[in-house]
Amino acid sequence: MRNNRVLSLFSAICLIFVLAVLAFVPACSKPASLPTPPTTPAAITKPVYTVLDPRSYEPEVHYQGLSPRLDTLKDKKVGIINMRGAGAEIMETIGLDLEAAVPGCTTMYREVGHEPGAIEGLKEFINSCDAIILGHNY
Amino acid sequence: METQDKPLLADIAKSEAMREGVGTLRLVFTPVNATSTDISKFVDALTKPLTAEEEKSGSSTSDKHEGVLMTGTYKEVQEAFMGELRYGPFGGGPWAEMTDGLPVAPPTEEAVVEMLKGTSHDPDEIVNFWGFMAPPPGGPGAGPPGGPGAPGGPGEGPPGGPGTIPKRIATVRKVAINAVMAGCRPEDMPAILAIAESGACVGYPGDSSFGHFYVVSGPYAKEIGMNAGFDFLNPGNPANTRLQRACTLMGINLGGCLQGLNCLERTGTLHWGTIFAENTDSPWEGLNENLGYKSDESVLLAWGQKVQLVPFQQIEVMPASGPRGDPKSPVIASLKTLTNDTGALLVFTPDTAHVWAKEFGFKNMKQLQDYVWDNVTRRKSDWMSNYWFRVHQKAEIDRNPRDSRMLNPDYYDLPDDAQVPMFISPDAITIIVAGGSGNAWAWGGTFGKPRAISIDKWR
Repeated sequence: MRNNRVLSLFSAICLIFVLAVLAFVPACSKPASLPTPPTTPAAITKPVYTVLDPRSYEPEVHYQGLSPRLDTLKDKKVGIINMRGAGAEIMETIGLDLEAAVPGCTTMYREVGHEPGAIEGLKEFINSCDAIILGHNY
Repeated sequence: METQDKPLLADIAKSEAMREGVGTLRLVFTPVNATSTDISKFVDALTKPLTAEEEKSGSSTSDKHEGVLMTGTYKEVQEAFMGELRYGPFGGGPWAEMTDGLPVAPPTEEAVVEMLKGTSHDPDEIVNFWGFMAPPPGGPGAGPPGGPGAPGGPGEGPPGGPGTIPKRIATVRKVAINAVMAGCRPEDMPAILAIAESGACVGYPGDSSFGHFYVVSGPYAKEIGMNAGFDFLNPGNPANTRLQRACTLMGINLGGCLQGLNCLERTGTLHWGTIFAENTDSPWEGLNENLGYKSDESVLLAWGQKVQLVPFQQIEVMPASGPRGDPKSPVIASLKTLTNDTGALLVFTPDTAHVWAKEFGFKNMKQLQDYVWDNVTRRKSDWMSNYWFRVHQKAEIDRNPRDSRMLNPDYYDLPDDAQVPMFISPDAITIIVAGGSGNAWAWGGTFGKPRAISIDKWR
């Protein structure tokens, strides 16, 4: 009997000890089954800036469509204007090739450089032609 | 052209045509070898019926870029301003989209509101940008308000005459946004707005190495801590550096500068917004007074297009009493080496200016300008056969009255071996006092005289 009482007392002490240990477990280690607390997103921990657009804008422009095309270049006069005066051989060749490709087509060549007065008479030149090829060579 | 980025070139050409009121273009790119040109493309372009799009007339619209650009972390903001790095169709690059390639200070609403405290002007006030070659309203060298050719004066008007439209439109607020990005302070705003009025660093769409060069004259320079002494051309002084960076950012974001596209300089330039202050230790009047302003008024002097400045070494500057001859001679000889310039820059250190005033009797800038104009000359035959005389000077010379202290038609009548002044007029020679103690001078050439813009009016 005495042995049984001692055993019961020992069991009770052990139970208390086990319960006591179990009571401390949550504070000492995290059970694997518990969910991980959410981490703070990086974007929230860093400063965030709302910034203004630094760009200007282009003014409104009223534009017009292209002039109607010719039905044919046959028997027409095509003006070839070289706006910078460079690449003259290319522009002149275009005139020769055009005359060869379209019988009856004639071409007139003009260079427009930087010089003061370079555009004098240009409007008359354009008005005297049925079509214009404007070349920009640089 | 055949080997270049044709779609991009076509976009540029059409964009420029649209600015002139032409809705679209029919483009044919030719090969370098003229004999291999496909002539049928030209025939088609002239005879193929127009599409509905080509016939269309109307009004262009563009994004006004108002309000917020984006929200993000510092890194994300920098990436947004850097944008997609862009290469030019002719080579070169890559270039950033909205920055000079370096990180910028985030232009938040709060920072911009703070920056706007530096000026009394309405944040919505319009600031027009006219592009590089367009003469400024009031004309080159416009003087104080009310004077001939000055804003408010008889010559006021848009570049190119009435009805000319600016290349781009901004506001005082947009200027402040760029100022924040450049790391500027509110007290910088009057100078930055004057720089914006000058057009900022928009570059040049040609092959020349044109630049942008500024000098601040008057008490404002000291107020914001600009350097006018030793190393005034070097980086490191916060005020000079802030203003120079603002020049660049405004050129990109407000002026529409696109390196490798509409800014196409084969080598670039050493003076991209170079800015420094005039030294007040001078025997002469300040540049503000020289240009018709009062001594207590602050003025921005702005040069564009051709602008060069070559600093000399101490050893190359002879003291007045030195054994190497007349120290004025190398100044004249240096300026004579310029070939394409209608104006000149002459920068004297304070000590050099005092020597020239005391020992050579130059009592004011005007006397020195006259001396340089009379002595920096070339043969008439060389002058009249010079390309720049024909393309740049002649029209202006033809307008100048005979018997005046300007290049004028009188000089056409001189014999071929006569000496003719190289610069358009004495006041196209700008004398700047700047630099540290000791003798030194720098020299260079410009296209004519600077444009003077009041800083005080932007306070």
